[in-house]
Amino acid sequence: MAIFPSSWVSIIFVLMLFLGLSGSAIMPVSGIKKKISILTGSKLYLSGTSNVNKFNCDCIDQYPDQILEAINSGGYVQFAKGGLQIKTRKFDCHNRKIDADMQKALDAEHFPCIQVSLIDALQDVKCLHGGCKDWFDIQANVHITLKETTKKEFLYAKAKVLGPNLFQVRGEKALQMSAYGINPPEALFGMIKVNDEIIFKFDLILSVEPIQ
Amino acid sequence: MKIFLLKGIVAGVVLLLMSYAALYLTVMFFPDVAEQYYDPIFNFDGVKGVLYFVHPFVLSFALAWFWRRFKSLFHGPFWWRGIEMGLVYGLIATVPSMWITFSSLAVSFTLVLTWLLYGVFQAIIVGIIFAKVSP
Repeated sequence: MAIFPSSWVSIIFVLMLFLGLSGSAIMPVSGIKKKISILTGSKLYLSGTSNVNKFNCDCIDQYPDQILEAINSGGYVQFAKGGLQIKTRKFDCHNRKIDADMQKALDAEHFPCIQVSLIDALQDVKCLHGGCKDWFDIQANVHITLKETTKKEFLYAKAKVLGPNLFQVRGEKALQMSAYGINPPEALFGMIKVNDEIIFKFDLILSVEPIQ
Repeated sequence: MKIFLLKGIVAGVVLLLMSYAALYLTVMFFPDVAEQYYDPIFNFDGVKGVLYFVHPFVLSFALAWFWRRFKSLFHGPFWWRGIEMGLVYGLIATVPSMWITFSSLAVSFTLVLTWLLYGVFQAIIVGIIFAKVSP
């Protein structure tokens, strides 16, 4: 019941962390173990540009519930377990040529998934207790693996408490394909070139349930 | 025969340079049109890319034969004879082929129109070359 793009997974996990923190009693240093579900209505997509157009690729997939394990101290959370795998063949760029070229660039045959792993996150501890009525900031570090390259990326997002154990998390992260050893797709004898920067965007509705 | 080959090769090289320049200018000045080439119906991979660049020579040799056979029908200064041959080619070859292309393939009117204009322009250039080299 969820829709995600690749590196969004990391973002999602970060969000999950937030969520998990917000819903539970917080101790100075405590372990967190939560089940996180990405609900219908969530959006995960990437946007890019070429020298002739702009394009968006939706990542439409269903993700199983995730178990998140972390240790938190105030507003800081360090993750022991948490991450997502995004299937590269699930990108729909609304143009079969771009779909094929993106999958070729990501070498979907040999690397079918984009891996996002949460490292740590920081947010206002007050918001974790439900003290923030509006959007609050979340900062996180994640490991993103595209093809054979894993890089640590900083992620900035906003979150909002929608209800008990229910959260919305929004954000975006720009990545350079070349930094991950990916050659941006080309067409028409190289005259049409996809630009190096792609932006992953996410708007997720997350359900977070404590695990006893 | 020597002149025939020479005409075909010279005109083919000119058309080849023109075709590449036309693609480049399309991407530069008409990105909306160029974007339409980013579609699965256009496949320039592998041998198809080679065939694409052979096309100018196919056209130049076909028109070289046409010129040798019918050049006596075109009168006036060389540039006018070239233009006339290009318009004749456009009328009897390009218009019908573009018509059937537009009616049967999922390509826009704008794209087909650019192909029509470019096809006529190519034939005019070749016609002017032939009228100058082999009046």
